[in-house]
Amino acid sequence: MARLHGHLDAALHLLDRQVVDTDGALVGKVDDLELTEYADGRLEVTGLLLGAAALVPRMAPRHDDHALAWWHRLAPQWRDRERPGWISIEDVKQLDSEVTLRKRRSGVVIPQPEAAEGLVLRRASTLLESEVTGPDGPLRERVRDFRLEPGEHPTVHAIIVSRGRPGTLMGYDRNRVTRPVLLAKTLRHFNRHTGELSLDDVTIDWDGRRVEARTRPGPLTRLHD
Amino acid sequence: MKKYLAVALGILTAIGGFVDIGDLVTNAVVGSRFGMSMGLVVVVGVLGICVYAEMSGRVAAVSRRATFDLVRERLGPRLGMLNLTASMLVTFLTFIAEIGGVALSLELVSSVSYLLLVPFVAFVVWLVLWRAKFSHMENVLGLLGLCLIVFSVALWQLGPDWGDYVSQAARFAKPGGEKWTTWAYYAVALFGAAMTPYEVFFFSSGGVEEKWTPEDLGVMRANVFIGFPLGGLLSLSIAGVATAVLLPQGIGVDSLGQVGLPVAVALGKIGLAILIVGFVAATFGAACETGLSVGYSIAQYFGWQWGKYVTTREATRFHAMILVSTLAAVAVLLTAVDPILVTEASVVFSAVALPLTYFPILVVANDPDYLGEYVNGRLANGLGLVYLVLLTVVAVAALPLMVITGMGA
Amino acid sequence: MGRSVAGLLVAPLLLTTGCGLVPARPDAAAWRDTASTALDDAVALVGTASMVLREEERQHVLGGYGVATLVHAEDAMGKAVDSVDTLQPPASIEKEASHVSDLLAEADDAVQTAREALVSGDQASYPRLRHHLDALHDQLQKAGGTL
Repeated sequence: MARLHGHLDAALHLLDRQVVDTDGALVGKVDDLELTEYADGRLEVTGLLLGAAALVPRMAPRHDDHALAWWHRLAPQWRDRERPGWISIEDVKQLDSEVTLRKRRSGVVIPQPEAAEGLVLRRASTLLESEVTGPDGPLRERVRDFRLEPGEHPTVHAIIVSRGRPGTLMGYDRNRVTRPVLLAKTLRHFNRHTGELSLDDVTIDWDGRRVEARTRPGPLTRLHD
Repeated sequence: MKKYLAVALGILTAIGGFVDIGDLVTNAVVGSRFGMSMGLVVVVGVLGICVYAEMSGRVAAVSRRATFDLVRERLGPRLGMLNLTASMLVTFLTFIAEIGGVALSLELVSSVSYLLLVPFVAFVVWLVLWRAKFSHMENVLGLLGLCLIVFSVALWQLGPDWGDYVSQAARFAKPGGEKWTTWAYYAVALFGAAMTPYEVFFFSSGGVEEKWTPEDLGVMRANVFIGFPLGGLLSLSIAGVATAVLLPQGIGVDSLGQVGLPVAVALGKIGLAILIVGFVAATFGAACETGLSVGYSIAQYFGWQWGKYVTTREATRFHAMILVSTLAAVAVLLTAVDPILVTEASVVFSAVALPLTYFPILVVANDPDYLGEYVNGRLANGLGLVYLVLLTVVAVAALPLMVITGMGA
Repeated sequence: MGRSVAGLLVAPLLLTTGCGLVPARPDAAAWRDTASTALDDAVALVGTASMVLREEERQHVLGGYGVATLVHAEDAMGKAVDSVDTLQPPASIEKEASHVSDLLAEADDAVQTAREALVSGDQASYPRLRHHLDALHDQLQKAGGTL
């Protein structure tokens, strides 16, 4: 079940998972993911973000700036209060029902470093819940998840869009979870409009919270192990 | 041999730990007002807690994930937070009721007002949670809780017409003077008492505490499928003695002293002495479990280090949560609010919160990513689904019934 | 801004309308509902007191158990009495209301006397007190039935 080196969906398999250190001691939750945007548009998962500065904005996905400003206002004397804790993706040894690090927990979380020259740092939560525009105008779907290609650095290769609420996906549309049949059918019905867009076919407008797609979403490919 | 001893110990503590203040009060109230007409509700509730405790225990043993890990992973941070808030309010309410219950039990022997005992009881609860080893706490309190078997002995001694009891249960024989809405309200309360969410928080977190592995699944199942139903029989005995002794006199229960009166009638001083030990152990054990559950759930949501398997220094925020909630519980009890009333409210609000807890467990118990080959079988899924529907109906009905009946007056 | 401040001032006034210090004046049906609940409670508490005295006589009760139970019963009895006495019954059922009120007051006294006897350990008085409690038990039940 070492998923990090297989195909995986970021929100389903990585976000909100428990992070444990090499001794099994608990470190925190994956409160958000750091995505590094390269000049050629490539999006790579480069770090786990932890702590209130990562979690608070996710509590209000469409008003995350306000949420973060509120968090700052609670203790304005602290510099970098909006900067979340960070663990490099290279320190992650394994991913199954928890995210296991290669190191001990003491001092493992550091303030998120600035981006290197020419790169832009994004957050997974900014992409999630973004609106989607198709070739013929706005779609009713929103971004619910994104797929990562295996490799040394997990790279975003597709975006999953759906009309359902984010909480209703729960993996029933994607992996081998098919039971209880009645529940699976009900949840699939609510998410019958779930589809996939290749990253090559979209332009992400990060500030406008919009994904502009040049094609209509295609059917979801099933994840294999 | 050692293995059998472990299984036997597990089953015994499961029986002794099954009953808490909610079960004591609700079963006695129901027995004293509705006789055995709700026997089947208890049976259905006990089967339900068995189904879901087994599922959450299996998830804990195989994936080391306790309930609120699953809630956050499956519902996301926002719905998860809503769920956490609701579940913690209910569990905190139960925690208050249990501490109040310990104080009321001690009042029965000491004649010291329970209000004076509350800070002392809370302090001892906190001390146990801070200092005692998890397994010692579980075993000692669970075994002492077995003293509540005097309810069953008392029932046998009173020798009611068993055929009549069975027929009351089978016919849902509501006494003429009561309304069906009131009956339904108490049925919901009884269901909430049997399936209180903290039981699953505690059971799954306890599995992680005791470092269960897939090899322990057999022991875990023995605890659940033998221990819990026998605990359920204790619940039925409480209702049974109330039906035999209190119902004919029109004595509707509203204090802990009345709950124990039938045992005094049937068994006298010695029975009553054993009963009070049982009261104290059962409520004290449940106070520990609910107190821990508050800490467990909050820490699991935020990913903090939790548990008594590490030193207190390694899980400081977890222990801070326990301390804060214990102090808050004392503060609430010192307003002189009637702990029995808190208990009655806590079981009804438990009923409201049931689907929040059980839905994510059912989903994850089917996910091979977590459970590999140990995913739910047909039976677990069939029952799980039936109960999910039932829980949803109960949850939706609970508050309207509470308003319509004026809390069952 | 001004409007919201005004709102803040007016809202509590509106909320407290009808919460004045006059006795609640229910109609006959509402009064009967309350009275019936109070009588049920009184039946339960008088029954409890009688049962505790009986078990004390049989040496079935331990230490402070009986006293603690009766202290709670006395407390609850007081609340039952108050729930009816603080209502202003409609004139049409004044006679009935005063009967219920008297009965509840008598029950209140009886439970209190039982508690006092228990605390002072006056065992000789138990049979007489129980006899009185049992008679009251029947009267309360009858009164509850005819409401």
